Amino acid sequence: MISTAQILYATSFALILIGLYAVVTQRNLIRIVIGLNVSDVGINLLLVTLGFIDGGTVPIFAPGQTMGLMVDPIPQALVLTSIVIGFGVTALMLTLVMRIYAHHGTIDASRLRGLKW
Amino acid sequence: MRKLAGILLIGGLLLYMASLVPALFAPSVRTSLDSVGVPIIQSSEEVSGSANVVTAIVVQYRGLDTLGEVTVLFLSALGVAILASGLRDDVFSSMFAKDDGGFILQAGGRFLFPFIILIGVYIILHGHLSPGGGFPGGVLIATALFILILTGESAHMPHRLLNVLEGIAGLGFIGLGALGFLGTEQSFLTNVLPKGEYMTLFSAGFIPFIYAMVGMKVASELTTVVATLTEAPVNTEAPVNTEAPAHGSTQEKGRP
Amino acid sequence: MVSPMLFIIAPLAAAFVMIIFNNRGLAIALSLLTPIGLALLGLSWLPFTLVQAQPILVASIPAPLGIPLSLDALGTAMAILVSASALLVVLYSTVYMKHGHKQVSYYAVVMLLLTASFGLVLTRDIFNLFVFFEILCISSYILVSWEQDGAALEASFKYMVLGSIGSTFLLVAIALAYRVAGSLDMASVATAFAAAPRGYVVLASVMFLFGIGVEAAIFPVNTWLPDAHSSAPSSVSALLSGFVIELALVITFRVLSTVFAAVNMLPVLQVLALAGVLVGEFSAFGQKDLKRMLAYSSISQIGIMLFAFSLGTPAGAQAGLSHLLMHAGAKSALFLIAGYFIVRTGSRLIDDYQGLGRRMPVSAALFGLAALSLVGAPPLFGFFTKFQILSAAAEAGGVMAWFGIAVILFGTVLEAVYLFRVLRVLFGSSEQTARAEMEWPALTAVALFAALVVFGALLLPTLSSMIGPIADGLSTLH
Repeated sequence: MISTAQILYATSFALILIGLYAVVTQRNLIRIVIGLNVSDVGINLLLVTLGFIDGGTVPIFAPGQTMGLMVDPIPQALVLTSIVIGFGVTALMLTLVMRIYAHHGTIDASRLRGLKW
Repeated sequence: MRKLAGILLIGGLLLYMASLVPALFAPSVRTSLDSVGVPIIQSSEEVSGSANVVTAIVVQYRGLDTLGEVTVLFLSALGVAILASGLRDDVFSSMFAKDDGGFILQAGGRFLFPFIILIGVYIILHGHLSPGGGFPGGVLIATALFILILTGESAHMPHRLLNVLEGIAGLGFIGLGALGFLGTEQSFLTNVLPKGEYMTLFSAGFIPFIYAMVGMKVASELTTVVATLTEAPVNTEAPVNTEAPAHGSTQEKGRP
Repeated sequence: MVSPMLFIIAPLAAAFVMIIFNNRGLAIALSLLTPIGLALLGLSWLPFTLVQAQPILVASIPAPLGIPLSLDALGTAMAILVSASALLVVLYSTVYMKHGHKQVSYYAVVMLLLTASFGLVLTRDIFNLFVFFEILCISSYILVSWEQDGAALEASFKYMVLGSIGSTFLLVAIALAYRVAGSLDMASVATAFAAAPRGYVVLASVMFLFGIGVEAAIFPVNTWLPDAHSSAPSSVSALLSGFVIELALVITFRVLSTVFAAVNMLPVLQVLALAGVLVGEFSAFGQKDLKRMLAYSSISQIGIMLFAFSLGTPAGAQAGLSHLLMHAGAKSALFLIAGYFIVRTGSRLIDDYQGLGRRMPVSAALFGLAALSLVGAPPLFGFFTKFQILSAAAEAGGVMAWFGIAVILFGTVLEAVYLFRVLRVLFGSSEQTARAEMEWPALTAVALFAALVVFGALLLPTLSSMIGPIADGLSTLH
């Protein structure tokens, strides 16, 4: 019987690898940025799933509630930070892509001399 | 050649990870926590006064991470402004189709704008009671401002004001953290404000205030980023390349 | 005693203030005062940290619930080095970047680079490490793109892509660590890894190595460096080659040997280090662009430092750290001077610097001294540090160590050839004799960096008394 957690873990690894594959093989700069974003989503999913409990509830105390089966709050805090950082990096990268396009007229990595590995 | 190397590398990683997944994540159904999350949940009422444990972690237990995160946002907004400042107006305009969003966005946006701001403020202030907090709240407020940008209501956002707000919010965060030095343990980011009555709005010490600062920062930074990327540049001078024989001085307008 | 939290808070607050007031004079004043203050702070803590690491409590919540920070001897030493280097580079920037755009933002980003650097040396929590590491990376991305010409934009993009892949790897390592340890502070993770199944630790350590390794310019994830350090403004090149990559290297090594102690990475690190040395030296050899040459040289010097660390002995660690100090002084001086060579001649190519020694005698002389120290000519500091590394390797013994000695010596020969070629051009003959020396702030900064390598040998007695506890920091987690 495959549990929810295992599906989520498998998905997160798959996303990370798909994203990395895109970064390595794609020539269009925007697709490279998208690939990095897909990897980010994957790693965030991985982190959140680490705190998963079957049948768990949100880690917020309602009046009269005891701890019970709360999921792990730490990965949620980590992912919050990670999402924000991912946003910041993406914004910067996209602005760079805009500048590169303005400068060279192309966003094809194979035509940009400086982007050879 | 490089592509092949990359694919082999990823393939190898894939296989390695696949071999680990069963071992790593074998206990297929987990029914209890065994991490440091447990003592945190148990102590969160006493230490932070916040009903939302995630908020307690973000602001207090791991407040330094949040300060860092806010700094990352600050940096990106700065970086976007720096990089976008060199875009020449003619090239820039060719990248965007100017469009005012149509009737629905115009009418709906105008109507919804105050409500979105209200909800954003609500979410920020109730971060310690319900899911949300400074980050989603700040994003909501920024969304309201995006409506202004998208509908063309506001051709140019007041960047200077946004910078000042960013800076003040950042200093506010640090200042609230510095209050911790006045406490008994003299450590940064200690929650020295009175914790109030649990689960009410005015509780959890400095958490609502820190989240207010965070919300202000997130809202102003997001708005700056989107505004910078969609507005035609105010100054159309290209940056001077320092590693070239010295030109005359350039004036700085708008953003620092 | 003033709290070491100030290391993190002060530059951050300075950056916020600069952006609020948007005034160049204020920005420069803050950018000079902050490193001075922090260098003094570091010096004031040094006597204490040499004896014992000083734990710092954040939010009054100790680990493992909270984030532990600690100021140990290595941290203090790095903090002082970083502050001093930043101070000098800012001084240089006041004249070098004078005509540049968005100067207030420049100084703000430099301050944030400092915040991140200090955060990295202080933190004892792996996720906190990640956050400060991201701040470091993003500041570098922005600074590298500063010139905003085609080369800089592309270099910055390549750097960002590699850096982001590295960050993803780093997060995977953190996820694995949290899974195993249930908490994020380094001490708990180290204990948990010692008892965990091997697969976890190996994957996590490899992910970590190649995650932070990007920033530390470790082979093979250092392909971004030649473009980035050569197309950045020279002040930025000095910052990055002078202490940022070294700092990342120190942090990488420290975490690998403490948190991931369950896996013996030393052999792998030695191989990567020597590969870096060879690639760096060979690539530098054929370079016609001075800054690209210096950038490749940084790759090989990082390789030398990593090799010294990965000998695994205290002598190796100490030698590596001394070499780090020497490199900070020498490479910063070289890049800063190169910046003015480019400005005065309008060219980045070495051949166009023919006879520049007559027009810029002081700069050329300092360039020569720094280059000689890098090669390792006595009686400059570089000779002693390189000798220390070689003798530590001989002492450690083993095939890799002797192979490493051979590689480093071979690399030294290559270095001598390509650096002497530059010196020969500089001090060659030329018709132009108009004096074109650097402005005094820049010259002072360069002179102070160069003074480190010239008089560094005099420092050796003091250094050797302190280096023990400092080098210990590389393998312990206080």
